[in-house]
Amino acid sequence: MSSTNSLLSPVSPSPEMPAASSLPSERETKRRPLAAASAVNARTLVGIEVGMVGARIASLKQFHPDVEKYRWVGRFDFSFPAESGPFNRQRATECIRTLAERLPRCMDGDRNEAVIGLPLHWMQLQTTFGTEVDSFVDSSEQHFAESGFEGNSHISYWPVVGEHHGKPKQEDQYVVATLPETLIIELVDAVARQGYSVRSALPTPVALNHAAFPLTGIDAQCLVSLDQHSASISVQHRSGIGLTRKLPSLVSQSKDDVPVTDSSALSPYLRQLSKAIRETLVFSSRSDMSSLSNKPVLITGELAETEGIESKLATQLEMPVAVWSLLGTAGPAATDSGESDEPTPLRDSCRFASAISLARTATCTGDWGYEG
Amino acid sequence: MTRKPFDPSDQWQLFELIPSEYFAKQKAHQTIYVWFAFIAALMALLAVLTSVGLRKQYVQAHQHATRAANAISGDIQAPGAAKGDSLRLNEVVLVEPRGAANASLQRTGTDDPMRSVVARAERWRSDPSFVAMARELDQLLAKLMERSGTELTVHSLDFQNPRSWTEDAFEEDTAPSLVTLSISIRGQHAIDAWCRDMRDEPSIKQVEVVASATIRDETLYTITIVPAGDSP
Repeated sequence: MSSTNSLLSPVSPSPEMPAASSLPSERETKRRPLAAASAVNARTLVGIEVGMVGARIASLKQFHPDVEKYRWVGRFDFSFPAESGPFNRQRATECIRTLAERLPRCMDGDRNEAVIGLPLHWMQLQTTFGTEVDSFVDSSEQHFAESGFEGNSHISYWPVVGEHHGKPKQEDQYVVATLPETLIIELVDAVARQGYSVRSALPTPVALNHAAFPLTGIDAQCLVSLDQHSASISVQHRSGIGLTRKLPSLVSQSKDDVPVTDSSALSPYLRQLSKAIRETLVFSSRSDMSSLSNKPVLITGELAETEGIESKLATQLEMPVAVWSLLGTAGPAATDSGESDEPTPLRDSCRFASAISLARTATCTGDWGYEG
Repeated sequence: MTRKPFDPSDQWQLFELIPSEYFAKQKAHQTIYVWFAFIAALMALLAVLTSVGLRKQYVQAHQHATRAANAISGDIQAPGAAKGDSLRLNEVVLVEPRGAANASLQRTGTDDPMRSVVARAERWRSDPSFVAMARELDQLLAKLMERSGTELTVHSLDFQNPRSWTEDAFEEDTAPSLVTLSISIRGQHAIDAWCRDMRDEPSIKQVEVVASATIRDETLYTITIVPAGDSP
């Protein structure tokens, strides 16, 4: 295995793609070359977050195979072609093709283990009783067929209340996410063809939720992902991830795609958001037969980069709010050499929280995917 | 394909979005790749071993022919020559493939004046029977080359007289009575036909292919020729 700098050399866009600079949210963030001498036979862990309007990729390098300590190797993001109409087969094919074209190319001999995070809006997501899961899957398949996806659906599920109340049964409530098998296989094949060893594909909130504590050191009651075009919440209980649902997004509310830099401009949206968050937390705590937690609400995503958003949201929620940030030197350090860790700016890693979490999730995978 | 009904008692939570069938297929492919690699490695090994074996066979055949020739040629005593002086030719001698009728044996890359069997038999010229046999052989080799229509390689041509194996016989000025010829030629049919023709020649009593080894499309023959009328 090579210990040289591994990936994240951006690929030039194809002729039919708009130029990189012309894409509205296109940006290539700083990419730090890896000092060859500092890596000890480390594999590269790559998180590929497929979003609603683009993809974000982050790669981590493990300092030592036996030590869970990573160095941030690079991050990269790009937009999908402008969205037109609802999500369907054609749109999925466009996104997958763009992803394959724009993914950083792997170096021969390097081991790049990738975990793909899929957005909730590509799935049918519902909280339902175990007895009703089959009928939900049937209706999902029908919906997918109408959108041009033939064949079976694959389901991913987890209980709203965790194992700490005993093994969940058929009568309990589950969060069920369904996805056309053809879509996921097409996506995984496209990424694998670029030289990545795809270890797993997960709903993005799952990876974000599971990696939150090891990466940030913040024991949160829920994770709220806030991007301009999508927002979601996933509740953390004693056994792991619980209730997960979509939240209203800023763009769907304002119909405006202008980047927000001032938290005061977000006030109307934050009011609506805090209401949805509170309802979710109340529902979850009631299911868990507990009272509302005093733990912080952890926010991530591009909107979480907005100065002052956490205090405004905390005021609305009447709960502590923390911004996702890496835990000092225990997490990936944004340094060139890896020898002297510089403090990571608070909001620097926020946008890439999901991609970093997905990358970290690659350490929890086996021959049959994610092992939790 | 029918879907398995939801049953959390099997697995109470499942996060993975990639179907297990996909992983199973990947593993199956990996197994196939491993087998392919194994078979390819095995074939490469076999190819190497076969190549080594063929080379060894060739070398052994050549050594055998040389040994056979040396065993009976070391004691050739030419008239007027010193004891142990022989007419053994271990150098490769080529017969020109064209103009067979006039072709003669030539040493490769040397300026040896002995251009033909007849020329090499100069030292035995005093023995008319030997000269006649040598001339006969020269013509027969030319015939063989003409018959095969291809290149003939004479590896060695040894004359010897079994009677001179005894100490006393060295003093006798007798022409060789046995010829060992080591040649390689393409085509079994040419050498068979040539041997038949040789046997029909009045000056030849016996022709026998004592050893042969085929390397690719070329066969190395060791042939003993017993001239008529002077056999032991």
